[in-house]
Amino acid sequence: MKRPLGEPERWSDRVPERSGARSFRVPAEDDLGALFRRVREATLPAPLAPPTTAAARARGPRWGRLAGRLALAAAVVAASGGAVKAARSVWRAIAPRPQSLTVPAGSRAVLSRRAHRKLTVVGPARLDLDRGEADRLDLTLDGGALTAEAGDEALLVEVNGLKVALPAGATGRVAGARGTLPAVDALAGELRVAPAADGRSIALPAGHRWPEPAPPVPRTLAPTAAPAAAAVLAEALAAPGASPRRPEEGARRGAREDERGATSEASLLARAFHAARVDRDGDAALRALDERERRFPNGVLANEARVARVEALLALGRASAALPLLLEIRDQSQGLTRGIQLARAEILSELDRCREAATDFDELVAAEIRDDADERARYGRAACHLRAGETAPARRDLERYGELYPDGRFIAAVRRATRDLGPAAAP
Amino acid sequence: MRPHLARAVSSPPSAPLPAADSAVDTDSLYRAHASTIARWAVRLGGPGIDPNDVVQEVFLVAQRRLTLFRPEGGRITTWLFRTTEKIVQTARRKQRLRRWLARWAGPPPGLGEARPVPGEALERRQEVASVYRVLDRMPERLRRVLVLFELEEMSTQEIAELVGARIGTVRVWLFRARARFIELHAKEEET
Repeated sequence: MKRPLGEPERWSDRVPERSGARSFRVPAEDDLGALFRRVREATLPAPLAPPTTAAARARGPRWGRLAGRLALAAAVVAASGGAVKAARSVWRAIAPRPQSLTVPAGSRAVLSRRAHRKLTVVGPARLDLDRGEADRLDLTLDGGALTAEAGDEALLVEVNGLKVALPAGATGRVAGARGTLPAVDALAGELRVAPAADGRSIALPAGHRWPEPAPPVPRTLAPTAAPAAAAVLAEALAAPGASPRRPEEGARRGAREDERGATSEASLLARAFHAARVDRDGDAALRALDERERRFPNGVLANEARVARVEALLALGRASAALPLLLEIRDQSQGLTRGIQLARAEILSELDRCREAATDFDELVAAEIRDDADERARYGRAACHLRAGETAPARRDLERYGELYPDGRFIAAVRRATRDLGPAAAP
Repeated sequence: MRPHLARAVSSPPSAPLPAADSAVDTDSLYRAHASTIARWAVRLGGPGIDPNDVVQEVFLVAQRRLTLFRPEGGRITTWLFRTTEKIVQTARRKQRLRRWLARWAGPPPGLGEARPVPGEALERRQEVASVYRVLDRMPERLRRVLVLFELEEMSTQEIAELVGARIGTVRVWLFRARARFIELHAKEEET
């Protein structure tokens, strides 16, 4: 590497010399160069998360706090006597401070103003800094998370209405969405969680989680939705006014159209359903649906196409992309079936949006139809109640599941959860 | 700070300067400079520094005070470097204080250091810690120049621009820093 005149040679750029060659170099410098090279490699920081900075909203200071700050400034003046320091303290006292902090999605806000205490908030979240109490923090998480280290003083954190007390030395992580009780992980030390309004708290030892994670809820749309959507499609394939065609006839006609290069909207949809259900090829299904969108932007089978796209996305494991489409389906005229409701509720509950999932779960259970959707809905609703710490309704759902489906697919998990809840409290 | 000198030197390797008449917004600043600031933080502060914390702090300061920045008064990179340096210094001071307190109160709670690491990574970590122990015993001015020159691979001209000193002065500091480092490193190895 060519250096400008007078530029010193960088030790870490030196190439080791051949042994035996005559050298005027100091060996220690070569060694230190190699050492710096290694340190350079070792101190490359990990890629940062893609956040932007947290946007703080500033409001005017409170008079009480202002008076306190002025008193502090006076104390500083008395202690140090420095005019510059005094001016700085006065400015700090009167300068507007943010009273709340909005942390956007993916951003991190770190609060470590007090010795040994560290609070890291990952957005989306909103911090309420208006309390004025040093040992407590109010936070609304909207899908974000908080990691709190209490340091050498106890700390009380209220997140989405849930009180979490961290004794000195404890570390905890709280994660949740707006409108739901968050999940708490005790990383170090024993935390206390107070979910109920009466202030009763539960001890959470290190390494434990509250509420205990519910067994995973199955999510695929098949098999309940598939036959329903297939029926919708079969109806759609029949030409308006034509006499009902036998299924084999429809299939033969679909095949003929496929041979001609998918000339109709229905045959493109049939191809999409076939790819999603039989071949489990979500990409091919999406291609067929995109083709349909392009050729028939105002096609009459828009509702069926939406269902097919949901199935294709689920086949690809893209549940969060399927959810907005599922949320668009409101009634039977738009293709709402028990399968669709179940898939939507299960995805919502997986995303910790149990409150929204509850409507679908409730409707499925209320229909009193003993089918796969009913079984899964009962299980999913119980899991949601457990996550929210609602033990009484959770127990009701678990017990009812045990009665209705003694050989059901989730029976082992249901029995375990019922046992963990313990005996029901006396009325 | 010497604005006339800052304007005289060539452009730094990092992101382009904002136009003199345009408002500098923190989002574009973040996209352009966050990774550079994280690297400065790690290299200036050593293994105990969390680069994410420093980046966060720098951009909180930027959000608050960027309106005071005048492009004609110097480069934005210089401003960001100075801010990063101050925040890193504060973090190092806190670390020193905690180490001092830990002699009486035991180690502070946390999980970071308890994580098991493979043998080679452990060796590398110890080597890095040893280099930073030596650097921490050096005067701040010399330490900073040595880190920027050897670890950040900046030229003396770029360093002069960042720290607001003459190139000749930077070279003198570098010479002294190297001599001091050799001396302290030898002592470190003896112990």
